Amino acid sequence: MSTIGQQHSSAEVPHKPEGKRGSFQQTARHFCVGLIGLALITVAVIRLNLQPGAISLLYLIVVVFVSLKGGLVSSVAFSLVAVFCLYYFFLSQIFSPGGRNPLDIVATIAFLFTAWVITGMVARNRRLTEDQLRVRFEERLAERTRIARELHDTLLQSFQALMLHFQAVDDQLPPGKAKEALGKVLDQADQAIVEGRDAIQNLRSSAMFANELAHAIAELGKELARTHSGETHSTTFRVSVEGTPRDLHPTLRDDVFRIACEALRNSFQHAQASKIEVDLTFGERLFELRIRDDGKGIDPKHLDSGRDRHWGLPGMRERAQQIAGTLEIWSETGAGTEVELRIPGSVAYSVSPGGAGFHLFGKGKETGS
Amino acid sequence: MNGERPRIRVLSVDDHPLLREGVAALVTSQPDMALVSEASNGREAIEQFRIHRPDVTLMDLQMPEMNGVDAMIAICGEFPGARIIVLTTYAGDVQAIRALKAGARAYLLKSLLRKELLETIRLVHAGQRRVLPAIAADLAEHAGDELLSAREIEVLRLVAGGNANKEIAALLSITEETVKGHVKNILAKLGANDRTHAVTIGLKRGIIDL
Repeated sequence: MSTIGQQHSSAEVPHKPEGKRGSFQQTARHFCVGLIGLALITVAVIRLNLQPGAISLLYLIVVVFVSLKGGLVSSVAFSLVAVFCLYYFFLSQIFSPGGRNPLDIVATIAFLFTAWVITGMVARNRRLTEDQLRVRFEERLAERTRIARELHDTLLQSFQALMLHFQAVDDQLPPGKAKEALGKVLDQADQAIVEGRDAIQNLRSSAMFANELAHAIAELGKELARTHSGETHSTTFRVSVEGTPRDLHPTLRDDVFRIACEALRNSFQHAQASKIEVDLTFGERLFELRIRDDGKGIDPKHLDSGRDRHWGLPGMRERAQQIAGTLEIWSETGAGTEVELRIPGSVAYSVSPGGAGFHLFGKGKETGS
Repeated sequence: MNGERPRIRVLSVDDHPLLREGVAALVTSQPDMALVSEASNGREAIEQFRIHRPDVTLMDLQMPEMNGVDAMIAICGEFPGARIIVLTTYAGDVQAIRALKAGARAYLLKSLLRKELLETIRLVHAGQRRVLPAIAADLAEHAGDELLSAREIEVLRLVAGGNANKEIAALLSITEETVKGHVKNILAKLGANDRTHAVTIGLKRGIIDL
């Protein structure tokens, strides 16, 4: 990924690497956030003078929350800290003012057990949803293949055959204007058929060769900039990446790319923007794609109705929905447009990083290959 | 042109009737050519070839029952002098190599048929070979590449069909681990990043077809 910038002169891709320390920092951050939450609850509990049951429940919520957010290490460490606090501040005083009480140990074990069971159940539930999504992706891949085959066997073959008939007619025409005109039309038809053929071939895969979304988007932007240059204005185009780029699920990646295509096409073709920017954020919990321009904006009428196919907005929304993402479009006449696509990390990335899964129950499920 | 010269006798093989009609329209409009017969799959092609012994055979690759490559191997085995032109929708070095190895004298894309077909028929009839520059470049680019094994091609085809490793394992009666090994080899040999990428490359290079 780090080579993206070197490959384009006009579209630079600055890249803020997170590196290997990223996951450690994440763990530490989750741990610290949890500690702050714990401290706040402890203070509140002391103030309000709550019952031990309520105190345990509040602690439980914090422990489950941290366990789900962080990895195994932070969840274990945090559970122990929580148990210690619980024991030290509340339980020991209530159960045994003088010495130790075996009930404390039982309570502690029960607390830990409950926390882990809940965490495990939630994590498993989440994995099941991810599995369902993955199955849907596989199904869509198969469906696209079927459509591609069908188009190839019917439409494409027929058109290719018709071109031969036209050529036979063309051969019989005497030289002149009509023949010339027909020749031109036939050439254009050839072109259209080749485009159709390539589209069918690519039906199940985007133009991206590598799993390098930023690179592909930068290439596309460059291409669009070239096509739309020479008009009255010039446009600067920039792609930036935040976070460590991770592999997206292939089918989902296609959809993300197509949404980016549509948004960029709008910006280049209609917006008359002088600046177009793309931000890709590979967050732990969230993948974000943001495309901004300072052009003339989209008419609010089009934005709301979604009826106007001109901007391809309904298609973008549909795609976003299919991949469990949310798409938001802000635009104001004269102030430019911003398109933002957000996909939960658990759905977006093709392989979960080691830390994010809480695998207490069942085995971790891996993706395709 | 020249009434004395015998016409080039052409056999047209394609499973799509409309395409055969198109080829017929073009070929029969030429004074130096005659369409002697048609076939809609490889098996019929072999039969028709035996009966008519055409000068030039136009062969589609993707056909039901018996594909074009197998038909060409059979025909060229029986009639070493057979002059066959392959007509196909997709380019792709692997498919082209397969066709040329099977005995094709020329390799044409259907999108270029309109302009290239008649000239190619005449060239091949005159004993020449013809591979379009774009396809030749494709061939050169992958000349040193390691080829996929038959099993790997089978796995890639199933991947293209949207099957997960587990399903592929069940279909081929092998373990999931073996499938994973095959997929890993496929990715390495094709230089692909993931399964979808491998399928794309497979299609582009004609290793698998739609």
